[in-house]
Amino acid sequence: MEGTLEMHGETGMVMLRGNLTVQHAAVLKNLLMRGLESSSRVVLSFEHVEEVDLSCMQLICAAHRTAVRMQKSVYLSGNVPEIFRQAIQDSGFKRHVGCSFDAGNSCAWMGMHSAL
Amino acid sequence: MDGHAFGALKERNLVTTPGINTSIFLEEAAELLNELEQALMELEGNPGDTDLVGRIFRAMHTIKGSGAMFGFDKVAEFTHEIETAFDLVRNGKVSVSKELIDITLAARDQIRLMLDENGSEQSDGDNGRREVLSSLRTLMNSVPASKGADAPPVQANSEEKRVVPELHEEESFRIRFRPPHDIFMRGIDPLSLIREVTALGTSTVVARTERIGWLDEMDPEHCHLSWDIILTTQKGINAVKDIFIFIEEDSALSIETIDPPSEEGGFRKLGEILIERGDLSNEQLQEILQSNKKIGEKLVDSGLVSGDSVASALAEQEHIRSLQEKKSAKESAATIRVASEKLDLLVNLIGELVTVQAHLSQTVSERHDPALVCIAEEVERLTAELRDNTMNIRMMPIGTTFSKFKRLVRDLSAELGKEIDLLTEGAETELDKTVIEKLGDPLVHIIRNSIDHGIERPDARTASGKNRRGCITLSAGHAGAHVVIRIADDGAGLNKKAIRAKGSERGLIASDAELSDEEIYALILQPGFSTAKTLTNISGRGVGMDVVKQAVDALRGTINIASRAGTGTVMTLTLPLTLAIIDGLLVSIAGDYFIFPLSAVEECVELTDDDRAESHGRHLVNIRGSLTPYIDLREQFGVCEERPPIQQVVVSRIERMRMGFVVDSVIGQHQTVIKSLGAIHKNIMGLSGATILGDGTVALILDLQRIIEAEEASESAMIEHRGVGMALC
Repeated sequence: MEGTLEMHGETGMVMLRGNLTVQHAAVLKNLLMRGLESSSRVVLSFEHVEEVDLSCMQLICAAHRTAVRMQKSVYLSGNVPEIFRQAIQDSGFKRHVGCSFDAGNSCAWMGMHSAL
Repeated sequence: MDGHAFGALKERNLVTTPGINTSIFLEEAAELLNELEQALMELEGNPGDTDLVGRIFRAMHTIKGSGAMFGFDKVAEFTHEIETAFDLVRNGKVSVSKELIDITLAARDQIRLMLDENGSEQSDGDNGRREVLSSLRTLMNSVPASKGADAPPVQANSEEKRVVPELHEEESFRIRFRPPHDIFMRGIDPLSLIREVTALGTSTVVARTERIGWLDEMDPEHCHLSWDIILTTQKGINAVKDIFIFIEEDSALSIETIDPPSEEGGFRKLGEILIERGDLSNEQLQEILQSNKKIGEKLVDSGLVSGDSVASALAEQEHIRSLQEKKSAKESAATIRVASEKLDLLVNLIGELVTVQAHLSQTVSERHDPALVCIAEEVERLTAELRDNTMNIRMMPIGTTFSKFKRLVRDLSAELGKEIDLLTEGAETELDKTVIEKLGDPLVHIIRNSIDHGIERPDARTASGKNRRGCITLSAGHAGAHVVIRIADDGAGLNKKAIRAKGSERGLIASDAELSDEEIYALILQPGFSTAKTLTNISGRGVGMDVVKQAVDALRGTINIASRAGTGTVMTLTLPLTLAIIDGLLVSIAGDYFIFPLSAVEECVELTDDDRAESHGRHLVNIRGSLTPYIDLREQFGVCEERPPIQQVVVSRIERMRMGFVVDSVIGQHQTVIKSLGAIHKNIMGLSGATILGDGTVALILDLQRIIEAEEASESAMIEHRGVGMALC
């Protein structure tokens, strides 16, 4: 997996490439933490992701609820590859309402709902 | 169920003896094979469509399971091998390729062959099946596994392991699964387990995220997720348990059967589901129900139940509700399967009834009894309704014929190195089953011609500025009492000069004859007519198009051909909706009765001796200032008796041409039950059948097209004769 954090004003763009699997979960976690520390709005780009497993999904959940606690936000950028969409659908993350940590319907999986 | 499944089924007397059940299986298998073929063709265009893969898998699975139950062991064994390969596709372990589609289509044909042999143990097709399995194994072993999964090769020895589905009553299960926290580190992806579960039936999956903590405190390599899965399946609880067998000990796993909704139609309420799941006690529920908010919100607000639990319970409620609704819809749309022979018999009986009813009406009209007239009119109304309803039962969508042409286009275009798409429109258009059955061969001929002679090779198309992929459009639609079927290709078009030259060479036309484009194109419908310089195994022998014409004529239809060089060719077949009962126009000629197909009749006008005198012996009648040619049927049928002073011209439209037919009198509309002519009379020119009138008299049904052709031939002969006579003078 390759991951970079680019700052665009208050927005931190986390660009991810390759395999988002458990082998790279620690790297992804660090990247997300850096993003949340250095910006008020973190946008995750999965456009060039080739493989994904559930360790990545739960990290996105954790990043989102942490962002809500910090009064910040985490979003997925528009272009989500098919393999990612399929994983979200099959694993049951797709939902109409956010979890109890959600504020202002900012849950990443709710945003995905219409796209799926 | 393992390799002994077949034996076990037999021991439990689940294998039935050949008979009615076998024929039902054969019928259903034939339908499934069509479904399989159609889905495979669609999958080739949409290789990523998981629904299509599911359809293919299900079709094979059903053929295999039913085949085993009905004693078609060879079919079951063979299908199992193919199904195994598609299971890998379904699980994303092997990707869809053209080779896979080719092999699966060949396998489908082998299954068809085995079924045609009625499951006999003959070994005629063994070589073919071996070839298919060998190709499949080669492909499976050469296809790289998709990322993250290994593709196990298809077992070379079919005896090693065989899975026959053990089907149970459909049940719904609530599966709650919390994997061990180190599941990722054990190299197991929980998602693959979930996908295995969902593949067992219809499912709703809810990921529960309440154990996920804050990012900084989270161990990213541990699994913090759990799942609630509602599964409705016929595979039984053991099939579900088998999936978790390797991690059951370290996981929190519960599998409970969900009671079906009560007969009264009530679905369990959210509170009831939560109590059943153990997420809430009855006391807590009663307490919360005292306030006015929605129960879900109240429970979450009070902290008694987590948001995930409520979402999961709601998902379960929705799953069961939607399943029940689908089931009800299916039940209400229930159909019954009836042997087509029974329908044919019913139509024959209706035909007899229509004839008797005509007799009744005629007899009653002679008695002048108002009470009887009333009854006769009621019988007439009911007979007409019964006739229409019965004919409707025999109506089938033409799409059943269309679907097999996709395969034809695919295979032939590949064989000829061409790239051709087949588009179909109006597949839902209905027409009589007899017409559909007889329509298959003519359409095959036309499409084969389009592929072989019409559509150019990709390089030639590109060079002439066309899309390298050719297109054949097959469309159908209703036009009055007819169905119009249009076969259009965007190929090179017909070569008018070559057709004309060939027609002249074969003596079909005079070299200097003035012909319209339509008349030139119609030459290709002559027997043995072909302009192809080389024969292929597809077409070019000139045996196709005259067969098409014969078949369409037999269906009382017409063919029209239009073409433009470089742009393409359009063949239009106009066919009657039914061949059993038609509306006719009853006429009389010298005391005999004849029927015109009413759909061809445009109007009737009088023809007097004065009109004849005005046209100076030419067969033309002036209708509202326009001259219309006519054929005198007395002359055609060699009637010598004196004609009445006033006759009728029945003006009909045949293939865009208006032509009058002179008869003595027009009697009126008549429901015509078509009876075919016997062997002695069936070749009489100008007659296509007969019907019985109310008083038992026979009326002959006119074949207007043939009468026109005979008249044209006789005129040509006369002109030729005169020409020879003049030359001799």
